[in-house]
Amino acid sequence: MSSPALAVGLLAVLLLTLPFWLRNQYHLHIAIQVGIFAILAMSLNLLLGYTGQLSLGHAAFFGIGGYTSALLSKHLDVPVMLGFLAAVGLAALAGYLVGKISLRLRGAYFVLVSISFAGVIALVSVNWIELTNGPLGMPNVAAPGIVLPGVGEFVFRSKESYYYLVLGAAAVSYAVCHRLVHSRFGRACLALRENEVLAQAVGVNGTAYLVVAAVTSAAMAGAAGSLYVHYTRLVSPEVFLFSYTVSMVIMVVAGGKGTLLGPIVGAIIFTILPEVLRAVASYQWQMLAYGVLLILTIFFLPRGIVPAVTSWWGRRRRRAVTPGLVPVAESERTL
Amino acid sequence: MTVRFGGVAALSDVTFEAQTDHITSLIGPNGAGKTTLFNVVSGFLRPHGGDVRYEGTSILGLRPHQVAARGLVRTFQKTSVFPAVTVFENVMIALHTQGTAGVWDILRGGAKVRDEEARLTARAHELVEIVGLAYREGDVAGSLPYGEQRILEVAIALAARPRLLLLDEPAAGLNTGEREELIALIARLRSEGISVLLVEHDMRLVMGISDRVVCLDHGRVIAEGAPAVVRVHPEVVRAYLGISDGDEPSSSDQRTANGQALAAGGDTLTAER
Repeated sequence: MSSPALAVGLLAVLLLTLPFWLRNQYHLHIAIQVGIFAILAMSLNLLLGYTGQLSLGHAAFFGIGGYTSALLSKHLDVPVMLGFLAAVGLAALAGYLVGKISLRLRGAYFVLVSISFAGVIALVSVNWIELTNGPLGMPNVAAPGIVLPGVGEFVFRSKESYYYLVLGAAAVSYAVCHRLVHSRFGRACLALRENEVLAQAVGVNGTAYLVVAAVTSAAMAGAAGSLYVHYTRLVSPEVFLFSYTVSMVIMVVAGGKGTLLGPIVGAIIFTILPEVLRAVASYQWQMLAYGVLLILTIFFLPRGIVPAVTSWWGRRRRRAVTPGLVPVAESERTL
Repeated sequence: MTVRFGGVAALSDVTFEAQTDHITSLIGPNGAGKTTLFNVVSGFLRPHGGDVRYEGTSILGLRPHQVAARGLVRTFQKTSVFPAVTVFENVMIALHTQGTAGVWDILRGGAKVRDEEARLTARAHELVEIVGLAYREGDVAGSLPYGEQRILEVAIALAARPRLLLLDEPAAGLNTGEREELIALIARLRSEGISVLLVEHDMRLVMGISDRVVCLDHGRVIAEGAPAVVRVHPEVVRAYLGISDGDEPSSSDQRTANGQALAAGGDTLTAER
C-alpha cells in the first residue's frame, strides 16, 4: 500500500470512528461545526480559489438554504430531507441570479452585487415577520429523519447521528469539488482566473462558466445552511451575519485557496481555534490572539497552509530521493 | 472594415483576404492598425463598418470564444500564457473546445468523461512534444524563460485546433535559435493544412515564409501581393522610409532605419517594439 493511500485510509477510519472515542458532547458539537464550515469553505473556494471571483455575500446562500428548509418543515410539514433538496435548489437559483446579474462584468462588480444581495435578503428575513418571525427567528425547527424500510423512521437527534449526517454531506461536497476541479469545467475556471483574455481566445465562454461555478457554489452553501438550522433547531437572521462570510474567506485563504484540502484544513483550524481560546482567555484576548495568528499565517504562508506544506514535503522528498543530484534549476523551481 | 477610436480612424476601409493553406503576413509601421485588425477578426473588437467573412459566412458580432470555436485562433502581441499552472496544464486548458463534457456529465462521471479526459491528455502530451517543450511539461509556465513562453503560446493556440491561426508578432524578442524553431513550426503548420495570418516586424522572417504579404499604413492597405512584389512597392518603401509627399510629418530615425532594412531585403526590425 502506498503511503498516500495509507494516509487516506487512516483518515477515513479516524473520521468514521470519531464519535466512539470522542465521547464529550461538546467536542462532538465542535466536530459537527467543523463539518458544516468545511462545506461552506469548500463552496466559497470553488469560486474564490478556482475562478478568482470573490463572493462577499456568501452567507446569503447559507441563510437562504437554512430558511428554506426550516420554513418548509415548520409551515408546510415538508419532510426535512425534501426541504433539504429545496434548500439546495433555491440557493442554487439565488446563485444563478446573482451570477447572471454581475458575472458579465465580474471582479469588483461581483463582490458588490453579492454583498448587496446578502444585505437585502437579511433585511427580508428581519422584516417579513409573518413568514420568518423577524429578528427573534423560529425555535423548534424539526430534526431531519429518514424512513428506513422495515425499521421505521430514524431521526437525527443525537449529536452522534448528526455527526455522520454532516460527515456524509461533507464527503459528497468534497467529491463534487474533486470531480469538477479535475475536469474540463475546472480547467475552464482556472483559465478564467489565470488569463481571461487568453481563455476567451481558446474558446472558453467566460460568463457561462462563472455562472455555473456560482450556482454550484451557492447550492453547496445552501446545503450547509439547511444542515445548520436543523442541527441548532433554530433559524434566525443570525445566519446572514457578515461574520459567517468573513470566517469562510479566512478559512479558504489561510487554508490555501485553489486547493482541494485547503478549505477543509482552514475550517478545522479556524473553528477549533476560537473554542480553544475561549477556554483560556477573555473575549478581547481571544479576538486579539485570533487576529495575530491570522496575520502571522498570511504573512509567513501567503499561499496558505496546504500549498506551503505540499511544497515543503515535495522538497524534502526530492532531497531524499536524489541527494546532491538535483539540478540547480530544479531545486530553484520549488522555492 | 473600419474602426475608429474617438475621432481617429485606426482602420479605414481595409479589405484583404487570407487564403486557405497560405501564410499571409500583415506588415506595416507601428500604429498602422495591425493589432486592431487582429482584434476585429478574433471578435475582441467590433468594427464600425464592414464585415469579416470566414469560410463563406460572416463572423461579425460573434464573441471571442465563439470565433475560437469556429477554428479562428489567435495569439497575443504581449506574452500571454496561464502563468500559475504547468506547461502541460496550459495545453490541457487550451484543449477546451476539443472536449464536450458538461457539468452534469462531469458530476455523474462514467466512461464517456473518462475516455474524453484520456483523449485530451494524450493530445496535450503530443502537442507539448510537437513544439519541443516536452522536457518542460511539469514546469510552471510563468517560470519559463521568455522564448519558451512564446513557444508555449503557439502550443496553446494549436491546442484549440485552428484552421486559421492568427499570430501577433510571435518572433518578437526571440533569439536566433528560437527564431529558427518558430519558422520551422510555422512552415509545418501550413503543410498540415493550417492557414496562418502573421503580424511580424521581422522582415527576413516575413519575406522568407509568406505566400502573400499585405502592408498597412495609417489604417489603409497600401500594397499586397507576393513578398517580392510588396518589398519593392514604392508605397511600402515610402511608409517605412518615412518619405512624405508634403503634408505628413516624417523622418523619424526609427522609420528611416526600418525602411533601410526593408530596402536592403530585410534586417530584423525588432527595434520597433
